[in-house]
Amino acid sequence: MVDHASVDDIVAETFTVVWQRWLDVPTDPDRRRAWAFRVAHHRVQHWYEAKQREVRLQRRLGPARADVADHAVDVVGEHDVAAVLALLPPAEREAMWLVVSVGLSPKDAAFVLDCAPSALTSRLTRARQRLAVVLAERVEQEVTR
Amino acid sequence: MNDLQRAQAEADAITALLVGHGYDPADAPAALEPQDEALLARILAPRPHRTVRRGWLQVASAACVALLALVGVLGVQSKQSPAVAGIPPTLRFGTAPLTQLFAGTAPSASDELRRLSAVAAAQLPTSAVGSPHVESYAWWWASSTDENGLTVSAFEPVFRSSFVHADGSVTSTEDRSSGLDVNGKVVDRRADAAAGTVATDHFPAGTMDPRWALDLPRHDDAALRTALLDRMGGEKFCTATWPGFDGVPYCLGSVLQELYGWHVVPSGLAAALWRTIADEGGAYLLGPTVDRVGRQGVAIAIMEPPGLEVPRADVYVISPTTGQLLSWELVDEAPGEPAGGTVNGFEAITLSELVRP
Repeated sequence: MVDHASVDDIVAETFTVVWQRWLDVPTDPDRRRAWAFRVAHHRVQHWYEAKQREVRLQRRLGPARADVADHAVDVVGEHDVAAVLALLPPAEREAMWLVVSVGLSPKDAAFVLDCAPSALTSRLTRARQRLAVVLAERVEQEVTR
Repeated sequence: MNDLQRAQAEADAITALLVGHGYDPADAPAALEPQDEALLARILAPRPHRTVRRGWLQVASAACVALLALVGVLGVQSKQSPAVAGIPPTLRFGTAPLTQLFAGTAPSASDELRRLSAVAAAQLPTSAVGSPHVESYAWWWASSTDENGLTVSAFEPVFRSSFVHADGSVTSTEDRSSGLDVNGKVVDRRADAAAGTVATDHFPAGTMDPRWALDLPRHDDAALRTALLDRMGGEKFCTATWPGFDGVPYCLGSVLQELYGWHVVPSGLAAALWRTIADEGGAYLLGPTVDRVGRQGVAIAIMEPPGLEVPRADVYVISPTTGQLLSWELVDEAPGEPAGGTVNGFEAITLSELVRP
């Protein structure tokens, strides 16, 4: 999960790219939105690559440096849809978020994720199946309380 | 119904599922603060030939924030994922194969270590002025999560260049390195167009002691042993952490990786290191080999503590002509493999020098 401190940086980097490449940005508003999300998607990938490298370096530097705590718990609330989304595997979570919560069309979401529509469909199918189980368990827990 | 229609149908079903359980699937992006809106307008204003759609910017900016802050995309899958490689073939050893090592029947490396210590001690001393600069090829084992939530792992070939500056600050640069040929040797990265983006990390002053290796005792093996074990948490940690397992050789070996990975090791110190490990015992001789960058070496192995899924050995390749450590590898026991083990990662030091500021 991207830590809270890095979110502003990633958004800033995303819009810097949008600004720098303004002439290449699609004119259609929906495609333009998907284009911006795709840039953000790549920025997040770079963040994870950098994070992996940082963890490796921290290990090599030894006990002199401590790992930074994961701030995910500060970011995800308990009673909103994000808490439910957090229970899904990352790829399913992102696919569902883009199509269901953000409202991108499946075509645009596939463009953002750089995957085929069939792959997007299978991620959504698995997300739905998993959500059905998770939500049913939650109902059961509330009943037994 | 085509794929896009099926995807939309799934999305509609998820929406219905969430609404049915009292969740609002729509994440309405919060409005931008007036100063942010003004800042965006200023950024985009100098391009008058394009119309700035402020409303779109508001929605997209807030939605990006929401996407990143609330969802996260750990292990996102796409064609842009970093290049990875398969398991490197194991090195070949002239004295004892890995099967013998893991069976506990490999010969002791103490005599060979004393001979290598003498080789190192016979080298001419070099300058001790400057800050350490080390370059290496390494294959790191990296794990991530796939779209089903399963952990997937692969090797990432990396070229690394590090500087420990005089003030103790550290600069470490990595890029995607070249692969291995069919013999498990590193392909010259100058001939490999696949080298990736360079990424540099800086650590502040005081992170490391640039003179650590230069100031370690070279003529008092007991003092050196204490200093090395202190680096790993002390002798008690190394002897008492793993019941029934003497962790001292492992601790000494682990410090080798830190020493050679960041510092320039004087030949006198190398001689003392091999003497100390030889006297300690617990190192096994695998024999002559050729490391990943084609250098002749002598391989010794030290077992890692129990507790891993399979037994693991740290293999160190030492130059028979200079007595310096050339590279090291982590090898897991694999009885089903012809070599008796699989490589879990390696690092080969290709340059180690003191540079003047």
